[in-house]
Amino acid sequence: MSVEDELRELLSRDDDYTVPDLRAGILPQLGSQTPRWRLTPSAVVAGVALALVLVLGRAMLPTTNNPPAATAPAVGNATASPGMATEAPASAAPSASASIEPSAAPSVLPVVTTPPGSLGMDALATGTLGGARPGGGVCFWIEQGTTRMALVWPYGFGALDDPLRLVGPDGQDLARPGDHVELGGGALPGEIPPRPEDDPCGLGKVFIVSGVATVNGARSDVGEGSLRLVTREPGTSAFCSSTVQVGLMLVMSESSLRVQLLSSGDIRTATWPLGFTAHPGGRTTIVDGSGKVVMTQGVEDPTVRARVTASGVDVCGFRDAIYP
Amino acid sequence: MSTGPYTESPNAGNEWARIVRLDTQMNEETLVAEARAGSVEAFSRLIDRDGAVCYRLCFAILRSHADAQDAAQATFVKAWRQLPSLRDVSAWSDWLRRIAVRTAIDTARHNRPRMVWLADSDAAQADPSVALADRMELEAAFVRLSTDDRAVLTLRFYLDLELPQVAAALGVPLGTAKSRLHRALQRLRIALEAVP
Repeated sequence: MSVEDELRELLSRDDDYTVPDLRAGILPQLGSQTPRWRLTPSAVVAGVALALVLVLGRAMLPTTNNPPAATAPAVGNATASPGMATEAPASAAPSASASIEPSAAPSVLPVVTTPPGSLGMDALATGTLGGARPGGGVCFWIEQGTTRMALVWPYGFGALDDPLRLVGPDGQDLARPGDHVELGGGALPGEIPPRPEDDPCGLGKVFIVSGVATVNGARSDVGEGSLRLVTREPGTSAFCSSTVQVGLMLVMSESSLRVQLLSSGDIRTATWPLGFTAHPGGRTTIVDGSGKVVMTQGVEDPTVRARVTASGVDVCGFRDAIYP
Repeated sequence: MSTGPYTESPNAGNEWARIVRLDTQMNEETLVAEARAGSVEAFSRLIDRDGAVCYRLCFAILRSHADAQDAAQATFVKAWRQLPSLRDVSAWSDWLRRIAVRTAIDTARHNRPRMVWLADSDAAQADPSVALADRMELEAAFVRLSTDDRAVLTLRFYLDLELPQVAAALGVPLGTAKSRLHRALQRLRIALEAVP
């Protein structure tokens, strides 16, 4: 067979790959309005207007059993200090916004990971993910033909069992044995044998993963950086004393931790007080410098003291507490 | 015409007709013309229609799913922005292909170098009639070529384009495309010999 024919055959195999959904990555960049179900400012205004009509209408009915005052308090303002400016009533209106208790998350099994803050390498390994539970532990490997390399994952990664699968820092399923994966990272030079604790399956070769690029052709881009918080430098939080309480929820979006504004549904990047860190688990938590959990992924908090700008959200504290 | 409170506004009727028209089989030229006029819906359908071809072309050149996804998405974003400049709507496919090739080449230049490459085991095992080792060698040799070489080989041997179309997709004269293809094949053979 000629080189040309072999090349034809090689490239035609690409057709077997699953094509990822491209629209989601394209449409937001088009600069035009696309039909989306989301809470826009005009919708909020319309909703408030409708609510006022309903409330006033009820209040004017002599037979109503609901005094107008019963509908007035906004949950988000319940803990506001006297004289403190508060978020617009519309944003605090949902009465269920006080908190949503996280459902019981399955316990995450530890996998071999790098220490937090490790530098990642830039190679790319492509192959099939393998996994096993030797002696109750967990090991994953990447396989190409008969070659296997044990995988050391970024800090925050873990595994779940039944069936065995890899989970990211926020507990989301990333991949399962048998999946085709592209992993960023780098292999240890051949002359350096891996430590037994880094190679629980005893494969003799280790690939240190800095991030999961794709799984079965779909973009993933999850790595330790997903849990890296941007914190403010000392002396740059003077604005915090004039911040108001804002309703926020910690979310994982575009492979990084962000905050969602409860008032509009917008998701934005956040800067945090110095010393704040994110910790993996069934749900990712934000912990302050003293080790206290201050936010939990997926739990709405209407009492966050923060400054909201066009570019992001500067978190300063919670309720009446402002971090230096 | 219906009367009374259930009469639909003329605008609602137009909107309904427009949606029906988009949801039925609109031909490529109509979709392109609508998209060029600013219809995101029409452009979305072009993405659905041509996204896979675009993605596979980018993957053939880049040999990375992550990069191919980036390049395919960037291709459509560029296409959307440049659509007003597309005079002949019937040239959409060729025009999009040209943007995709250019974008894939740019993506390869801007992205990180590949230090490790493991051939895909599933694809390698798909056809037992061809030796796994041979296929891995070819893959390894192909990856070692420059992006420009991979692009010209992809257009010729993956998309099976004739040389004038290859030249058009690369935006070069026919003679240049011919010599590029010749040199790329030469380098592929050399790279094959160099594979350990």
